[in-house]
Amino acid sequence: MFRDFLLPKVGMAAITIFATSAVVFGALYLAPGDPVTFLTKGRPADPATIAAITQQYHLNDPLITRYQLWVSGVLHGDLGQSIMFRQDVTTLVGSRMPTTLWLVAMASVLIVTVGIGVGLFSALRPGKLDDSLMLGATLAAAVPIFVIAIALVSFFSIRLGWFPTFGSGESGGFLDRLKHLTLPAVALAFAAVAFVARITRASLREEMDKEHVRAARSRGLASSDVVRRHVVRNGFAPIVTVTGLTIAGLFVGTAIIEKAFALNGIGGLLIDAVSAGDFPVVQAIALLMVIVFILTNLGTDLLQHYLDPRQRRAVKE
Amino acid sequence: MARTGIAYVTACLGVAVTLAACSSTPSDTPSGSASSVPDVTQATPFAPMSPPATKPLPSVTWALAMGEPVSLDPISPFNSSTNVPLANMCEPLLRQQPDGAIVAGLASSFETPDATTYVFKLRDAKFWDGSTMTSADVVASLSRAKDATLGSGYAGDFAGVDSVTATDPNTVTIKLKQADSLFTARMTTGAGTVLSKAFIDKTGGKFGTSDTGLMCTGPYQLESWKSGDSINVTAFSGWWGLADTKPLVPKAKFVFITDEAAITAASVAGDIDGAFGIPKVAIERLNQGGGAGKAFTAPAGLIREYSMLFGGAFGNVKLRQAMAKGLDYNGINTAVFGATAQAARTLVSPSLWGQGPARAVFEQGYNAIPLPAQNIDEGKKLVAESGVSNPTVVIAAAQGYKEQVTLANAARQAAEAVGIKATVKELPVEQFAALYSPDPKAREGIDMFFLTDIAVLPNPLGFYAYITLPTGAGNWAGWNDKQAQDLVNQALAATDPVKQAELTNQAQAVVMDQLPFIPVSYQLATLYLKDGVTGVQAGEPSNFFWPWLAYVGGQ
Amino acid sequence: MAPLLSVEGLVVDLPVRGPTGRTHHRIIDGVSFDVAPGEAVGLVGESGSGKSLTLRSVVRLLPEGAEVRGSLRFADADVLTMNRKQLNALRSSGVATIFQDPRAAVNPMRTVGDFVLEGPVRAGGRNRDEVLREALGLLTDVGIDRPEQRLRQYPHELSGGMLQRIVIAAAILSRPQLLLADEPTTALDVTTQSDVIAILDEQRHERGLAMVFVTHDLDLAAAICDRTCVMYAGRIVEDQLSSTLHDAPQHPYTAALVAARPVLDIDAGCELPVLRAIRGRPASAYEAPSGCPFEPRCNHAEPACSATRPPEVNSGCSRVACFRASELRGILALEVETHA
Ligand SMILES: Nc1ncnc2c1ncn2[C@@H]1O[C@H](COP(=O)(O)OP(=O)(O)OP(=O)(O)O)[C@@H](O)[C@H]1O
Ligand SMILES: [Mg+2]
Repeated sequence: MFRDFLLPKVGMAAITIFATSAVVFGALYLAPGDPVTFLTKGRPADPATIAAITQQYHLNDPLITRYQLWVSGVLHGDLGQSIMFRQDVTTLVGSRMPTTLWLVAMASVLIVTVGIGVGLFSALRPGKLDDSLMLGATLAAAVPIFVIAIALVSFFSIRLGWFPTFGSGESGGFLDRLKHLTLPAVALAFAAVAFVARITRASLREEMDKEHVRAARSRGLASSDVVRRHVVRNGFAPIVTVTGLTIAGLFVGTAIIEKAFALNGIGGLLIDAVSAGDFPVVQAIALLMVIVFILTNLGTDLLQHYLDPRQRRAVKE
Repeated sequence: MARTGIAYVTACLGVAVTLAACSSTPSDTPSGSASSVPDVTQATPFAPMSPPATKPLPSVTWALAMGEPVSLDPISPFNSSTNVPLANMCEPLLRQQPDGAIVAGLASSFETPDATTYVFKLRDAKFWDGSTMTSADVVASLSRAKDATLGSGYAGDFAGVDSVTATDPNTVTIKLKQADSLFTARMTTGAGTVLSKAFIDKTGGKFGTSDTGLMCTGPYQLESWKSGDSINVTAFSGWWGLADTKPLVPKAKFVFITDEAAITAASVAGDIDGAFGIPKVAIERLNQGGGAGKAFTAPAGLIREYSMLFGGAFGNVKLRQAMAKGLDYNGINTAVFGATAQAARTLVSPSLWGQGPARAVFEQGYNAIPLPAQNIDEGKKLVAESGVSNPTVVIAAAQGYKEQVTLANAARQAAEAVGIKATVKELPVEQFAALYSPDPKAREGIDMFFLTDIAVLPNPLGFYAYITLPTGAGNWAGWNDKQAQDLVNQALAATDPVKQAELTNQAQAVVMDQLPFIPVSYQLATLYLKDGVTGVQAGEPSNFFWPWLAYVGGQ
Repeated sequence: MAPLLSVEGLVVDLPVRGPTGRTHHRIIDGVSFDVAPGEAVGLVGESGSGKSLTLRSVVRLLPEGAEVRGSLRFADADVLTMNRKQLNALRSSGVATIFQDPRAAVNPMRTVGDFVLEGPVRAGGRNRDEVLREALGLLTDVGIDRPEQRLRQYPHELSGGMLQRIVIAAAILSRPQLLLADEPTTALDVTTQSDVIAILDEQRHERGLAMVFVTHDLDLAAAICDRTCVMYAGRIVEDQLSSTLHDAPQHPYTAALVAARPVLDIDAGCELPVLRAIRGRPASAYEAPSGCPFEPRCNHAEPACSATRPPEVNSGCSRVACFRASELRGILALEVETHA
């Protein structure tokens, strides 16, 4: 199991991470935004200041040298210093992490419960409601995330006053956090819920039409048993994969949500860091996101492996 | 020299990705003059923004509309996110009152035995840790401010400083290379802000980050800076100023909201108690009523202007003047800037006139300049007089910034109206920002562009020195006008404030005739206050260096 | 003796999503047949004639939205009016179905044991250990070695033949009175086909189970079924004793089917067998003409054939739906013979 399944995957993951870091590094180099403009706040600066900054951040060194410097730092466990905040990247990213994790976790709960729930319901109860739910899902998936954010805030925060308009509730307790992050999580999960609902429905519908489900019915099994033991159990694998990847993809969506709700998590930090050319921070976050993606992928693969006996066999051989 | 900057192009970059926060302008190019924006001379520049506070409030939540500060180090380049909270924590030697008067700060008094010597007597102030402030702290702080390699945004203010010495524990003597009538004004900013030397030594270069914190003398001390969440301050019980001013708010929380929609929602819902610099959309929404608070505006040191470059047709003064005649000021201001615009006669807003005998002189000089108005015929005449046949110009705009593109197009229309052929060239924002860098190559082929500049010294001379002198960081165009330079240099050397103001007025007249910049409007400071919160005295720039929070409270 | 299963005038309309919205297509158009206890009835006919749907109707496993009319009685109970519980009881202990492709019919994600025991234990409500013991015996009976180990394996680890034996064992395990077998060997390779058929036949006889056996293979039907019903376009056109169907077909369609089947002629040596295809294309019930549905393809059709639907006429132990049945009897027998 370890040698045949896990080891190659981990190896691939390492290569992916390495390649991503190089690509991100190069891309940031080409992208607009540079530390000098950022540090001088875009206002005229005297040449001495510019020279000092350039020197401090090795801005004049060739790309390769800068990348080597960064890689050797990372290999020594040092992600470097943020140019924007003059702070250890590890500390900086670490301090922004909880908000984003909470946000993604809450959105994930929504995706799993509402998305899969609606999909299940639609799959099992064909009819008018199912049709309108799926139409709703199609439309929901098309609404831009910030439009949802604005709509949610103007209705639930301003009109009804149920939720705060901004902030992560980090300094408050658990309930405070929930209250602060509810709307952001809903906005973040919105399209994903719709997507997962549709995938769930499609996958279960496909499964329901399978001969073995008909065979199970023909044996007089109660409907609930058929659904649970055959339809859901078998249709679950693609749902798990899609849900997993959708949740991993949420990290990218957090950028917009965090700005819209003034949450200051990883996503918002990434946007700021990109425009300031703060490459150690961009690198760290990009890598984090890639790692999350790879881990999710690995996780769903493992789960898939566990769920589908045919794959287990394939590995054994 | 004035601290100036284009806060608005660069600072908005991060937000642009989400909601195009910096492009809140109508899509069509403004035209016509349906309604006019207020003229300063008709308003009282120093009316308090909101009535004085009388009651304590348990705490306030204040939003920083430009986002989380990257640093609270007083020497970091001027930035509203940094300076709005910092003004309540770290104090300069001298202070800029809301009315613009320069008064005692950490220095209880100063003497000028001669034009190039300043002797500051320090008051008996304590740092938050209980230690006493001494001249050693001042010397250490000023030498940090002088050091560009530490990232100081105020190094230029020390260009004319010869030495800073601690004469005794309570006295600091500063020697200048030549007379500088702006020197006291400079000491009201980050350049003159005092930190604890012991603390500086302890933290090394990393001062004012969310890890290291701060050690200053101000009425509020830094309680915590939760990176990504908030900056929390509490009233400092050992503040030297308590005898005169008792803070009504024991603690305050600064939160970071850059998104225009988010800050609008937070204001309307009353989730925040106050915020400076709220965007136009928020003001418009709050003015509709039904929200939890109100929007206020006040004069500030912000000037919206077109920068004229001299490499091409605009090397000819008649063409610059013609350009100024072609612009539809009212149309632009009404359509693009709305409630945040105030008509501008000069490049320096009346909120920077300061106090004392010079003030009346500045007012005179200001009123002597006519309010700019569109006059196409005169513009055409000036083009004819220029002797340049078929003049053509290129107007730059920052790509993707709607406001920039709109203003560039307004300029193009103005140019064509008076007979100057014009094209708009959109530049990537980095390339655009390079237009005002020291590198002349970046400006090649460009004749004008629009920008917003900030002046924070309470004296118009600061801004005119900044754009006139060859060493002025605002003189990126390389404008070399002997007459203006002489007048500015004489004003800088003048010891009598009235004399200085008169010379400044003369320099101003030259500037407004030669037009290295064409003023469009002053940008008003904007403020949101939740109902029941009051006590904000004035707009910018004093809120960046004056402990405004010590005056905020309930009604 | 009262029939175990009695189908009378069964009509099935299936919904189809056409370009103009939802319509119904008639698939089964008046099918009637009886199955006596212990009797095996073959159901033959070209593809699309409705054999599988007839079978599925018996346990009401029709597609969503199907409309069913007529009468369907099993052991004197009206199947069409059964509630969910009665229906599940019918499916779990009255009637057992054996599907065409065991790979498709067994859930690939569950163990074989799960599949075998699920029916009797979950649906039949019987004691698991008892069922397991019985299952192990049955599996041995159907020729599965090391049955305990097999039950722990997954379907993909077993061969198709083995799996179909398990499916048969599982069907018998539920102690039904009637087996429905829908081409149970078509998906298997030729060498195992006869084994599986033999086992099915043996088990059925041992327990005296009735069976409806769907196949394309007339010879196979003749070999294991007492009677054979020939379906065409959603109808039964002929119902005969299997023993006589071959030599004395009464319907031109039956005769054509018999003539069309591939026969390896030993005397012909290396020559390829002659295949006599039936001209034209098989029709579905809804597209069949209003007269005799086989009329357009029939070599013996008369103008009267296309006018009205020929009624089913009983004569002795057989039943046929053809206007010319009696006149053609000799001719059809001859046709079949020349071919053979
Ligand atoms: N779910 C369904 N929806 C609509 N039409 C169907 C459905 N299932 C079968 N049919 C149609 O009903 C007709 C009869 O199908 P059936 O499966 O009973 O044929 P069959 O005689 O078993 O054929 P074969 O020998 O190919 O298995 C065919 O025309 C088929 O297209
Ligand atoms: Mg079939």
